[in-house]
Order: sequence, then structure tokens, then C-alpha cells
Amino acid sequence: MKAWLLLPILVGLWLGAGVVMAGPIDSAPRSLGDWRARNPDEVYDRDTLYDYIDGGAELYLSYDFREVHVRRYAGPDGSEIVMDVYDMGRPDDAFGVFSVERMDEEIGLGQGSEYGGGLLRFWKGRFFVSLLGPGDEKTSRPAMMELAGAVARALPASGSGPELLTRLPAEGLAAQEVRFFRSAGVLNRLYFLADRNILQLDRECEGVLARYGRAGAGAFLILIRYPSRERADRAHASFMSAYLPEARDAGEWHVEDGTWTLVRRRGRLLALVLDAGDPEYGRRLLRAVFSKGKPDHGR
Amino acid sequence: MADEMTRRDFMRRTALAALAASLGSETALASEARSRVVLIRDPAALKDGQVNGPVVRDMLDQALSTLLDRAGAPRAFRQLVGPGDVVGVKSNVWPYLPTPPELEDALRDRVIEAGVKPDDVAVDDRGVRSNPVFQRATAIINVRPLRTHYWSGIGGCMKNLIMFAPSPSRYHPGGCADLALLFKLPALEGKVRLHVLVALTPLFHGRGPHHFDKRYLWPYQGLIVGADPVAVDAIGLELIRAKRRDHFGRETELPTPPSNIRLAEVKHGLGVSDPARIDLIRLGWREDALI
Repeated sequence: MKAWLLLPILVGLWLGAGVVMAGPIDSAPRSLGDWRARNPDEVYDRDTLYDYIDGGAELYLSYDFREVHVRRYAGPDGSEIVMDVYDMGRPDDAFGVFSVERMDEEIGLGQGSEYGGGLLRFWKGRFFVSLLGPGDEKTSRPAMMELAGAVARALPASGSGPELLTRLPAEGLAAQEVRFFRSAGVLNRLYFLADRNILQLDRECEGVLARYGRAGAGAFLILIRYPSRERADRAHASFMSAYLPEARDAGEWHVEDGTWTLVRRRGRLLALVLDAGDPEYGRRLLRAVFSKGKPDHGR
Repeated sequence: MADEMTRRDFMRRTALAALAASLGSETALASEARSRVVLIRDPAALKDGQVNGPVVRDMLDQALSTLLDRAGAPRAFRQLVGPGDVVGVKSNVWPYLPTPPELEDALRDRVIEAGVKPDDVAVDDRGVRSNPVFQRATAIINVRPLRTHYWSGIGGCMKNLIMFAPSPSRYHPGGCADLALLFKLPALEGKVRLHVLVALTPLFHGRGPHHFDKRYLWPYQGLIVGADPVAVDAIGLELIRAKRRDHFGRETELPTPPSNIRLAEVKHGLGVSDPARIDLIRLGWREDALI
């Protein structure tokens, strides 16, 4: 091949690499009022994230986390704002890591955001962004909003969250408490099922935990989409054996705390209703799940 | 798997325990074992938000004397360690809520006063596996702040020992369900003499990548001290849960169910996890004690 034919390819690769190397964190100013970025920014990948996050790295690693860029801003009286920009690989995973800890009011950044207690979090596209400051409403919060806004504006939006969420019945859904996960560890953190991976989850799976509230008869719904029908079938069998052996045929059981657990599988989808006070409410939830969207038979 | 533990297993055990309580009898499920833990508080432990070293040192002395039924701190510490021992003080350097240096200094001083050579005492956290003193340690003293923890429910004394593991992530599955296995590591087995769970400013709720939110620190001004790590953590968990009820106005799940405490006893036979079988000795300040 002639060398000149390679030129456009090489230029394209260089430009692409440049975008990646600069990263969205560079959209934020390095100096803002009394706040000054310390040099250099830090970068951690899947192999080094443990060096940065004490105890919480597992959450990110359970998703398609690629790398995080960290910038520390020194402020008045020794205070600090730490800004983390996580490349989560996929928009669904950026939403996922945002969703599992969501608790404060929306503040209008990115595709979902919140601020409380000196912690600002948002997601947009495949990025999840966190800023931790001293919690001072007069000095640090405005700076954090401005820094986060600069990063948010530079990020392209993508989708509106995992497609699996569209299968959740709307009636009674606690919308702010919808959590997206891929691992047993994260699910257990949200709703402890077992100290082993009895649902056979891994990073190829998509899972949603949702809370439904209704006076006297609320429930939790766990909905998982596996990469294949065979995987879903094996996971179903594993769950029934480990958790609900009495109900292999019926798929529902009145468990020891007085609530009902119900299980259904269809195609690649496995749905569990837990803590249901009323079994009929659980059945209606499951019917609604499987009546929404196209049949998901998969491979 | 025979040793699997599910949510339903917890339900069954809770139901059995309730039944046993209603019948006024012990079941085969419940162990007879008991543990002793000391909770000491002082309203002067913090001064202008900072750790008051002399007061905290005195709290440590009182707690240990009471725990070991020895009059005076020197005698109590001599029961723990003595000449010939090599002592590692396992601390915690988490930047948002580290083990107070004042407490590290107090422990180090008391260990030396008990007859241990100064060169045979070290304080460390992340470097315990490569620290020469820890490598030849005959005794470990474990001291860390109490907080909720993203991956294990609470950051307690058992969790603090994970840095002794060649591969800490091996202990992460199931919300660190099997932390008790750490006590089988050669560096720890039979060596951990004392656990001090620092409750001066516990963190009762955390969020974000660093699991820190300053709204959820509170000046409890206490120390929880014991020889049984499961019992010490169980009391710490009781305190965290009580504070969460008090603050949120309702029962709230911890970010991760701290199953490792219960499993330490029922699955691994390490210590006492049931608060009803922990003799909690309360010393000092009682206002807003919560437990």
C-alpha cells in the first residue's frame, strides 16, 4: 500500500487518540475562583482502581469500567474538591453506577444528577462523574456546580438508560429507587439474597432491582436478562435449587417471614418478586413485566 | 452448596431465635458462648472537633483495665503483651476518617511500658505485609474507626485485617461474607490480642466513590474495646443501626447487609455475634448513648 493512502487513517487514529487522551475532565477549568487544580491529574484503570478507592472499587469493576481521571482542587483553608470522571464503557453502566446510590434531589446536570452533603454525582453517555467537596454551601457548592457543568456540557448524551427498564410496570414503581446491576455483589448490596452467586450473574447480564409500594402489599422486583436462553434456564434452576426448592413447580412460596417469593422465566428473562405481602399482587407484577415489550427469546 | 447462606436462612434463624425467646429456652441453634465488650465515652474526648489526646488515652486505659479485670492500665497491658513479644498495631489510614494518631501513640506507649522493646513495635496499615515488625509479630493489636462500609456493611475490626491477605479481593464476595477466614492467615492466627473500634466520630451512612458524606459523621465520643472481634463489631453494628434509626426516623437497610458478623459465628465459629450474648460494660458518659 502506498504511504499516502495510510495518511488519512493515521490522522484519524491520532485525532481519536487525542480525544481519548485529553478526556472530558479537561473540559473543566484548572482554576476557578479560590480553587486551583493540583498537578498532575491521576488516572486509574481496572488493574489499579484498588489503589484509589478503598473498599468501593468492586462496584465499578462489576460494570464495564475502563478508567477514571481524578483531579484534586485545593481551596481555601486547606479544603479540597476531588473530581472523578469515570469512563464506564457503556451508557447503561454509567447509569447503573449512578443508580445504585441515588438518594438526593435532581439538580439538572447530564442525564441524571444529585447533590447532597458535599457530594455531587451525575451520569451522561458512558461517563459517570463524582465531585466530593467540603460541603460548604457558599464556597464549594457553586464551584462544584460550575466544574461539573463544564464536564457535563462536553459529554455527548446517549440513550435514556438501560432498555430493560422499559419492562418495569409503571404503577406503584418507586422511580427514584430503580437500580441497574450486573453482579451478585451489587445485587446483594442492594438486596441480600445469598452469600453465593445463586443467580449466576456476570458482566454479560443485565439486572434491575425496583421497589413497588402499595399500602400493605408492596414488593421488590428483580428482573434479569441473560445473554442466552440457556444461561437464563441454568440460572433459574440454580435459584430454585438454592432458594426456593419447595416451589419447583409452582414458582411461588410463602416464605418464613410471612411474605411471598414468586419466580418466572421467559426466554432470556428471569423475574423474581420478593417481600410481596399479597401473592396476587406479585402475580400481577409478573404478568405486567412479561406483557411489556417484545418477547425476549434471544439466542 | 452445603455452607451456602441465603436470605431465607437468616429468616429461619430469626424465627427460631424468636421462638426460643418466647419459650424461654435455648435452642440447638444458639450457642452458649458469651463475650465481654467495653463501651466507654467521655464528653471531653473531642475538643473543638479535634481528638483530645490525654482524654482518649485515659479512656483506653479504663476500658482495658475493665475488660481484663486488672487494676491500672500497666497491669492490663502486661496481660496482653510482654517482654519477648513483637507487636504490630494495625491501624487504618482512610483519609476521610483515619485512626487518630493520638490513639496509635497511646497504644504504642502502653505496649512499650509493658516491656516490649521499642524496635519491636510498629504501627501500620497498607504496609503490614511488608513491614519487618509485622512479619515477625507475635501479637497484633487492631484499632480502627467505626463506619459504614460500601462493600462489607460496616467497617469494623474484622474488615480492618483484610490488608494481611495476599489478595484482599478474594474476601469481597457476598459483601465480605467470609471475613472471619482472615483469622486463619498465618500472620494472624492466634495472634490478635485486642480490638479497639474507635467511635469518636463514627460515620453512620456513606455515599459516592469514597463512601463519605460529612452529613453522616456524629460526635459520639466513644471507644468499643474487646478481645472478640465479632462481638466488638456486633456492638458497633448495633450503634450504627441505632443512629440510623434515630437520624432517618425509621429502620433503614445498611448499604450492604453486614452478614459477615453473623456468618463469623454461625458459619466459621469465630466469636459471638448475638448482642443478647454479649456482656456490654458501659463506662463514662451516658447521654445519647443509643445502646
